[in-house]
Amino acid sequence: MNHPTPKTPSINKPPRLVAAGSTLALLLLLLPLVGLVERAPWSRMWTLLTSTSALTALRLSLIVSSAAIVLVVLLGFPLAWLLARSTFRGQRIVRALVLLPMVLPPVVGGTALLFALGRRGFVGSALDRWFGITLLGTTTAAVLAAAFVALPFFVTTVEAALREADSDIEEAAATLGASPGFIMRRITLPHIKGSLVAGLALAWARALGEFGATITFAGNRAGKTRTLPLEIFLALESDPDAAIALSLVLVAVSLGVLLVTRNRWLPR
Amino acid sequence: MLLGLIGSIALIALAGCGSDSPSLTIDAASSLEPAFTELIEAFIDEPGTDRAGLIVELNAAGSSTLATGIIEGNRPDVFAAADRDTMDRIVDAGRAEAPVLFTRNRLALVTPSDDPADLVTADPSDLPGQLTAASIAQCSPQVPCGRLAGEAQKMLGLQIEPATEETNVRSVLSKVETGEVDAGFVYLTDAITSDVQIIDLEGLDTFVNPYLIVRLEEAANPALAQEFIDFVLSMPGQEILARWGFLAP
Repeated sequence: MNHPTPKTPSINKPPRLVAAGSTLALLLLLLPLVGLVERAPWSRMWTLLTSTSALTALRLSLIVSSAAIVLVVLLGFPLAWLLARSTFRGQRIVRALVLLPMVLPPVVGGTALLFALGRRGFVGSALDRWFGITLLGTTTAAVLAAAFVALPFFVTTVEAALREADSDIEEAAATLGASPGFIMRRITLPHIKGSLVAGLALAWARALGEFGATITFAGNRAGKTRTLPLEIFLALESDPDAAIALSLVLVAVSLGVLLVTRNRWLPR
Repeated sequence: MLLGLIGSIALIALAGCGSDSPSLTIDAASSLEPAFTELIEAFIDEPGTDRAGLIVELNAAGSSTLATGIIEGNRPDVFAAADRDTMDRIVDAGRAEAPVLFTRNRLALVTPSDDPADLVTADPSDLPGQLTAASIAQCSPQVPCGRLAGEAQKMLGLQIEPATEETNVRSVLSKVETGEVDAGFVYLTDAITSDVQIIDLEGLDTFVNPYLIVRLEEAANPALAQEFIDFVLSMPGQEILARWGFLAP
């Protein structure tokens, strides 16, 4: 082979434009965080984070995101399984539908939820008429909003893992007489454990940070729907220091999630 | 490629710096939005002035949101707030001096046009009880419309646990208009300009918020800012405000 040797770019010395561009990119990502830390009211931090409203919002956020995750797993796992392990007509459409909340602005998701499940929505009006149930201002609505935006993160992560998992072993086990439940518990789940944890962590973080769909669909009610992001939004009105303190909590949690899922995002 | 990127960033930055034509930026409480939109048009067309080509930018949002923005470094020329507490935050922060009372707005309780909880036709003596059972939207206590609603509920002895507390009066109105709640506490001006019904709750019309306007210390165009404030206080300006349901100062 007599091809001219391609010029290998030096790894140690990136081209100047690459260096300049990536420096700007990093600045764009880093500057806002520096802004938060720089303005952080460190001396009042503890007082701000333990105020009644902050604690109420913290507790509610934990409840809402955990409940949303239970819902996401219960509904998302079968869906991931269906997408990964079977073929059916319209599968591509279903997959696009699953991804939609990931790219949809959350406020659009909230508006859509409002006009479906709100009091005048086609489902919501029936709920109101037959059962006297209205969702505005209820934690149920906040959980639904969080589950709506978090579901794709879990489904896509688990679907990919199920697709990659070796089904030969499962088939062998089935041939040897193992029940589907046994195969699931002893072979499939242990195999995709890492992806399950990553999917859970990502979905939970997304649920925890949910704002747009919640404020549009569930309303803003202390102790019921006012989760941390809504509390931050409200605190900006009157006490920016409290907003900064609570924002830092969410930054810390997000960093924690990155650490948990580091094998997925931070290849060594 | 990168040069193009830097170029476009620079262009965006330049676009933010304005052009040759004079401009005025006004931050106003969201309840003022429709009235101020008309006021601004009338200001540009005011007889005896040459303001053709003047660009006026109106930022309408919750008073507190705007106040926080100004304290954090936003530089509008004029700020109009829906109550005194919010205006005081600006003055205390040294961003402005001597705000002027320019109009007032009454609290109103409104229902969706079909009045799902039959509050409009309710017997006045039953109304407080019915309101306790109804789902109600109001502003949060951090913002002017919420402070006023809370004060009214306390003075009138109403037991209300709101279904949602919004950060500006427009959001409360939207919750009523979409029928998500049985009723909502808004301003009279909002009630007049939208498709809702007003509930006749005795004593509610005595709860009034003063609206204050001020020229910011760091106004880019102080002379023009003052001209706008003078116009708001003038007879034609006050007539426009009155037409939108605002009360004389």
